[in-house]
Amino acid sequence: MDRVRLLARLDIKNNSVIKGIHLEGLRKIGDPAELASKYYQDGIDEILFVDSVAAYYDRNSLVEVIAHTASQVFVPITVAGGLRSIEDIQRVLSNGADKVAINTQATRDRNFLKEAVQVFGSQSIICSLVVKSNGAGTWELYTDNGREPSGIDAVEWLDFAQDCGVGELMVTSIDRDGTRRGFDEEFLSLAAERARVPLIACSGAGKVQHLDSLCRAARVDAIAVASMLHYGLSTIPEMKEALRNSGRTTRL
Amino acid sequence: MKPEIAVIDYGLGNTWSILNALKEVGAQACLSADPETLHRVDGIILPGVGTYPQGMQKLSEAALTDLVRSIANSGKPLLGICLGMQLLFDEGYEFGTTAGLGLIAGTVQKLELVEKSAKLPHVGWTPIDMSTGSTETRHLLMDVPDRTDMYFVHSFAAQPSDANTIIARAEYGGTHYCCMVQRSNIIGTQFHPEKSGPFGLQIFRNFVNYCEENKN
Repeated sequence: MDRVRLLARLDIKNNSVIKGIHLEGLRKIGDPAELASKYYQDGIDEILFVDSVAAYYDRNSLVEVIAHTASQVFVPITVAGGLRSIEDIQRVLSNGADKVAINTQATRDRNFLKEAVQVFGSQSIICSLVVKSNGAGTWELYTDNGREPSGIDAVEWLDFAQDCGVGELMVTSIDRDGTRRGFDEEFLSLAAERARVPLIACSGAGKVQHLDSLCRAARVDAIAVASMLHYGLSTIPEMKEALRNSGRTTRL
Repeated sequence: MKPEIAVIDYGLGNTWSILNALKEVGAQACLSADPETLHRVDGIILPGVGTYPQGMQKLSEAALTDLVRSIANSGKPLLGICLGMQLLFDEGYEFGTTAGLGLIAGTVQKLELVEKSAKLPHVGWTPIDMSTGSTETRHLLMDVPDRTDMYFVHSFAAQPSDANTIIARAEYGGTHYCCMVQRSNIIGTQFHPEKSGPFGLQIFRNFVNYCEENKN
């Protein structure tokens, strides 16, 4: 079980891939389906689409992007952002997504994760945790794509999500997002110790050494990169090599 | 004429991706639960994501249980994917015991992992091992190198009674299990070839070619 997956994370606003810092100050990168297709051709293991303004409008607007991408990308596709109901999940899954990641709605309706797992199976439901450090060794869960503090302790939420039966956990760190300063290894090692399902780490990768370092620090199952790909800081084969150098194995 | 493949429509499975993969490798593809269509096409695919009882119930609700059995027994190529592969067997033990389609002898059981720290469901890329598999029926693995990574998402796995029907195995959490099975024209993959990149597409290409040869 030393395998690690490499995901391309594409945050989307108004049909364009964007990238911010601390989930703010967004900069336009390019066309989502085109970029997803390029990363697929280059050997990425999965695609992660995050609708970054969806939570604001309470709806996910990615259906066309997903459908278009799924006609040319033959690796798993996960969609996050603005999924508020069973119908919302159904819509993205029936248009080519394989999994969805839920954050805000799970805090508004404490039965939502459990219900989604019952309807779609745990393999399709990921709990997305957007976290921010409070200093002193605790982390708070944020909702609405990092805009709203929830008052919920992130570690407690991670346990709650697992009890609801989700198939995977995904961690986004507001402190590290877009900074290229490396992952929040402290939180991720804490999360990895408690995770009984696969754990996906996001936020902070700026160079291949960060991937190596995270793999040594925490037993994560998947790592998502954004800036490194969007700004061409490193190639996918170079990133996979770094993962293998840390003692893990990769596809390709 | 391009070979025509129907993906069985019974409300389960990532049919969109399978249809895309079939089109990508040059087949005519449709989603159907219509008996006439399913009898007419050159090959059929049984998709499936969900639980074993749910799968059998949905097939039955769509009046497809006997139809799929009779088409498979007529010699038409049938490919079951993920839960679709599991349903090909005699019975499954997810949430009690449920009778399957009985097209391949064996049962479907929860993965018993040797390494207790390994997590279920098994999600991710895992190499498929053809070295210990039967070599008589390898239509679908043509031009797919041994130990190619395929994408898996499952907690249960098939245990065929006849080892000769196993054409590839996978290893997860220290446990080796059957991940690809074939008995004459009836084939199953536990992994998702439609999500397994270029080599997953190669499996579809091989299936389409097999359907075409079978037609002639």
